[in-house]
Amino acid sequence: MNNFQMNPVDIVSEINEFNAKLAQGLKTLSEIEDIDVGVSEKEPVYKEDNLVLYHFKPRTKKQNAVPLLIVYALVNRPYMADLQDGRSMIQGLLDEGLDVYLIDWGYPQSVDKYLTLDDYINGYIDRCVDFIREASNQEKINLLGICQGGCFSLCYSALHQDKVKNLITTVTPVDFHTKDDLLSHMVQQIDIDQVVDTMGNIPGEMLNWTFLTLKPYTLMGQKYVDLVDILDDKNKALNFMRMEKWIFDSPDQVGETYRQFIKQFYQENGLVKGTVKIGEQTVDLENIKNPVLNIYAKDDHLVPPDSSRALEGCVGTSDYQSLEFPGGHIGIYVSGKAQKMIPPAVGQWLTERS
Amino acid sequence: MANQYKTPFDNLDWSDIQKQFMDAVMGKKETFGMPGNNFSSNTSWADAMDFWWRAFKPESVSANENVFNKMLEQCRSYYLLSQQFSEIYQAMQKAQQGSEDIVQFLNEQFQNLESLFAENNQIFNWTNFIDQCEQPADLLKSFMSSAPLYTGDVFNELSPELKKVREQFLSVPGVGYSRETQEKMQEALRLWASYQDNYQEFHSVMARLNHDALGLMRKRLIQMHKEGESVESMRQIYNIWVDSNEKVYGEFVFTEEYAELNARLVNSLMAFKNKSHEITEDYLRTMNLPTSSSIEALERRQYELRKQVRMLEAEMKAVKSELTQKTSAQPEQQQAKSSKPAKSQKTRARKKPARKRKSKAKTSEVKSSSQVVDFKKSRLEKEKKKKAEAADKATSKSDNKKDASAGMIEIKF
Repeated sequence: MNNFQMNPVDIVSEINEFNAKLAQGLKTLSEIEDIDVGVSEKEPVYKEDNLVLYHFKPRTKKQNAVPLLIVYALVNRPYMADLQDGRSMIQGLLDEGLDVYLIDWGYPQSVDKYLTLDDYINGYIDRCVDFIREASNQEKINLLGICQGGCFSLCYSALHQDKVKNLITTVTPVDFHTKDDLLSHMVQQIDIDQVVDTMGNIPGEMLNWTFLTLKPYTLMGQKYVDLVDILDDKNKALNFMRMEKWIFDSPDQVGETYRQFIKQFYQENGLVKGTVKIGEQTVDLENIKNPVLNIYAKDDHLVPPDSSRALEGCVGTSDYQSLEFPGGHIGIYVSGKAQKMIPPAVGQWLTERS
Repeated sequence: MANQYKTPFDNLDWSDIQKQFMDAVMGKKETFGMPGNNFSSNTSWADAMDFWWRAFKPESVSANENVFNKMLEQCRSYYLLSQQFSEIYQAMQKAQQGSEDIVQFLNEQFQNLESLFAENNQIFNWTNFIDQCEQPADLLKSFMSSAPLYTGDVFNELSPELKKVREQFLSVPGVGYSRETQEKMQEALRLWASYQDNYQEFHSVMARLNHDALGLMRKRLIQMHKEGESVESMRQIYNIWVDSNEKVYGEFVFTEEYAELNARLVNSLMAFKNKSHEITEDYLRTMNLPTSSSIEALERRQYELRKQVRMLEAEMKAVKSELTQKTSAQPEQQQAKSSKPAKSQKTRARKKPARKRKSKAKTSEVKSSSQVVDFKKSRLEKEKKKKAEAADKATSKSDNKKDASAGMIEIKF
């Protein structure tokens, strides 16, 4: 028996229905002019070069006395953590009574191409931490690192134990040589020196392309066909557009930092081997004695769970906890499920330790 | 006129095209059962969509145009794919009527489909970005075209025989006044040729994967047929096609072959771009125009200056802090003599940086050169004191003072 029983009328009817949705969808999209992102109220409190340190307005009467500094990655923009009302990790953290700061790295220019990991970690981050310590009258503060920002936070904590009270890492790669790490697999044989010497800063578009090629048919094809199905709902269309804006809002990568990060972390796997050098100092994760909460995503296709889980065997703290989120690399910040799970877990964990 | 319609698909032209196509699908134009052979660009859904979009586009250009274009591009792929599969569907039904073997029929249809996909790269070509990375080649091409010895044609894809000729040509040693320029050009062309070879290999591998994905899709459909599962929509077919491609691609990208090929592609492109920068710089120098090297030198110097400024700022801050400690500690020490021990005051200052900030604000107005001199004096005195304290380790009292003093200096902001 033939199970493929569609007749021509059904097929054309399906396509016509799709046409109608597409037309309506294009109409909906043409009506969307402003795509607002970054919903929580905040003020810039410290600026340096491209960097802006933001302090978020509290949403509770009483706050945890120890501030929380969110260290974002250099890839993409930090408003992903505060995308929209009800889909904002930062909003959730504020609702947990945390005093939240965020580093926005801005858009590097050609003139920034010589900035190194040392400049970022022992320079920018350290000065932000000092600013917050001074403003809050606290000797130590809490750090929360996002993805590559988690790597930076780990390095910073290992080098500045006197300033870090608690450390939270989210979807942070630690072991860069796990079998399922496709990004790592793709860059192992790339001549990074030649890439940086040729390009200077690495164009954001090139990074976008790299990420999209991890699942090209889904991310560059199917996603836009599926989009047609939701475009009759303006709110859903707006949600899509916000994510789309974030995905393609990619600052260039500072050349020297990119060179050091790819070579030391991805190619040499220096974080777990203890060979990463930041300036003149070598990063030994064993030096991290403060409490650590490691949050990773079960279905993360960019940072495999095993890569994050490796942290447990590297840090020197006796207070280590991990939390697995049932979702992907971005879902951990923007999904409805994440809003119910991540901020409360972070809030509770910090309250117990601050 | 597109303006008179509420939605673009109200357009009668579109309906006509749809009707024409439906007629074709229904068999009135004998397009059934011959996928690939009678693929007509005049009546396809994808081309109908293009037709409509050309009419609609002028009034829809907005900030979201980029998403429009991506969506339309992918919908076009979906239409192209759907059209091909709708024809297979019809052929299958026809086969059923004639009691032919569905599995064998599906195999035959997929063979036709594979050859169509091999000829038509419009279905889904995600490697376009690589082409954008080749931009320096255009520049070099224009240089080459204006040079007497070469033409831009050497950049075009060559047959193996011509490649040999090209290699020989590029091995001709440079002579005379423009020897170095010629050698650089030859090197750039060699690098370009190397990149072109890698690029072609990359594309042929991707074509192989597409072919394999179609094979997997066919197996899945046959499996579904055997297990009695039904396919009820074109969208389901499209999703199976996407999944099949992702599976085949996903397995391949984890292989050493891919890592090596991808690296060769990127490395050869970068090598070519690097050399073309060098050649561009040579031209710019002859015109006394700024080169990227000279700008990079400026950027590096500026970077180093920024670092120096930051170091100086940090030192200034430490100095200010120390000065503040000094000026605020004097009255406190006087008070302390009559009430509290000095050590506890210092300890508290170390633990609460905010307190010092307040003190700093108080003294910020009185910054003057005389104070700097005073500070230098006090620093010298302090160093003397430290030396004396170091010599006098026997007494615990002096040790305590030293610790407290050191702690204050170490405060960083």
